[in-house]
Amino acid sequence: MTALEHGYVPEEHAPDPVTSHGDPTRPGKIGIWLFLASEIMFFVGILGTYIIYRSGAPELFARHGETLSKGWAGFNTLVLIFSSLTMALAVDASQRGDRKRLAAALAVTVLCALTFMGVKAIEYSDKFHHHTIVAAADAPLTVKADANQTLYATITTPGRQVFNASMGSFERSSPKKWAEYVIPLQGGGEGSDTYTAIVPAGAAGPNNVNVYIRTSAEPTSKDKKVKPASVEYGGGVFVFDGHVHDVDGGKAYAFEGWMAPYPESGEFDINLISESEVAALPGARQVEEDESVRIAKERINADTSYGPWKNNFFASYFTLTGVHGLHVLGGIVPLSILLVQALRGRFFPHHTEYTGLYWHFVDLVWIFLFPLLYLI
Amino acid sequence: MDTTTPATADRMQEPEEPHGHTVPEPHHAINYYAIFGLLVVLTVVTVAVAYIHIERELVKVLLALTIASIKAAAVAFYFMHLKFEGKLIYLILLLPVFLCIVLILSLIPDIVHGLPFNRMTPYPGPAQE
Repeated sequence: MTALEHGYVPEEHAPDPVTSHGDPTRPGKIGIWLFLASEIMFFVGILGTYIIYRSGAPELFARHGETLSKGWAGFNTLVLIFSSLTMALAVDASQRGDRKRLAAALAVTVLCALTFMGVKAIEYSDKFHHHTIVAAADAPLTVKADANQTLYATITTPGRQVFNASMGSFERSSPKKWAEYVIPLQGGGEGSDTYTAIVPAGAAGPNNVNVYIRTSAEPTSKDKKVKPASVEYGGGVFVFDGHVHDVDGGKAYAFEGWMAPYPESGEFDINLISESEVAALPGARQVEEDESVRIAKERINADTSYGPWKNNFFASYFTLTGVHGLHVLGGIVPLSILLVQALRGRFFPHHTEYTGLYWHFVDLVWIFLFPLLYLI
Repeated sequence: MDTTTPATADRMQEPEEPHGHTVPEPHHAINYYAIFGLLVVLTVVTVAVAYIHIERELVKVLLALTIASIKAAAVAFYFMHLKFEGKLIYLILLLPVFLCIVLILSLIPDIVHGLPFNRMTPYPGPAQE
């Protein structure tokens, strides 16, 4: 007589009354364990690569690991552990024939899986919007001169390159002609001796830019030049590390994070730089979101986001978490099938058990990934 | 196919005692909630240990792996019922675990710096004429 005719499910580990060695292990169970054994080797291949890469560049890995969000990953760990609990309860319910408990446990497991993927999407999108950029940016210009004047600044760079505001680019002007780009300076009222302006992103060039302070917007050879007490121009090339998003119809980035003048000497590879390194450069400053610092895209010299292409750490991180995420997504398929069947009152105790084994394995992998990627 | 027919009742019918088979129980009595509690506690421990400043990279990795292994053992032995399985399953698991350890250990001499076989010596300069 078959199990179906008996109307009950044979126990998975029933002691054999003759030999007391237990039922022979079902082929299905051997099959799923063989699959999990191959998955162990698959994941340890990638995880071992990460461990080896890390041993070769521990400082780089530790520094870039700091940019990952421990909070989100910790939440994801608890979500996955909880889903393991509900999966075990589902297997239990399917063997008892408890339809309501089975459906509820499977539904919660699927919800946890979807939550996990949602948080993963948040983490990934956050990384892809985090860029390291070398470019020229809006630069603050501060001039100290006698108060109560109306002043204008004319910007030129060595080699008589002039910023053409309407073109948005630098172009050569003839040595005899005055520079064509003028910006008015704000301030100087009520006896204040400080004038300020923001110079929009200019060409990527040397840091020493010439600034002429004049009293007229129309610079001519007869124009009165003002000798200011001091001129502070933060112009030139900068390195940025932080979050960006498109503005101006995609022609520029709005930036928030750390920026510093591009170091004149020494090796500088944007793929090996993270936020902490930029913050440690001389002259670095933190940019808040409401400061509206803009980086014109055509003035970008080099640009990389924190994706798998950035360096070995991120290649390992995205491979490991991406492949694990695919396993979570794949696991949702049998879970959903079992859930639909449970809602229709049909039990598949063995299949539920095998799905449970797979799901616990996925949780196991994450238990190893979480500390190794995020915490050390 | 292992299915019970859709029944009006939610619970399975009580089995008769068939020819020499034992009366089944669905499972061994495992307190899944207790294991879950242990896992949560160990996760908190993992995060707490991360905030202790440890100099040596190797110690950090080993500590993280040790705590993770305890959690993994809890999931494997109780959630996955490994505690109650036969020798065949253990054998199926033992081989890949062994191979994984061999894989990682065999790559260490190639890439890890600062060990006796990968110490860097100063570049002696170009060959003299």
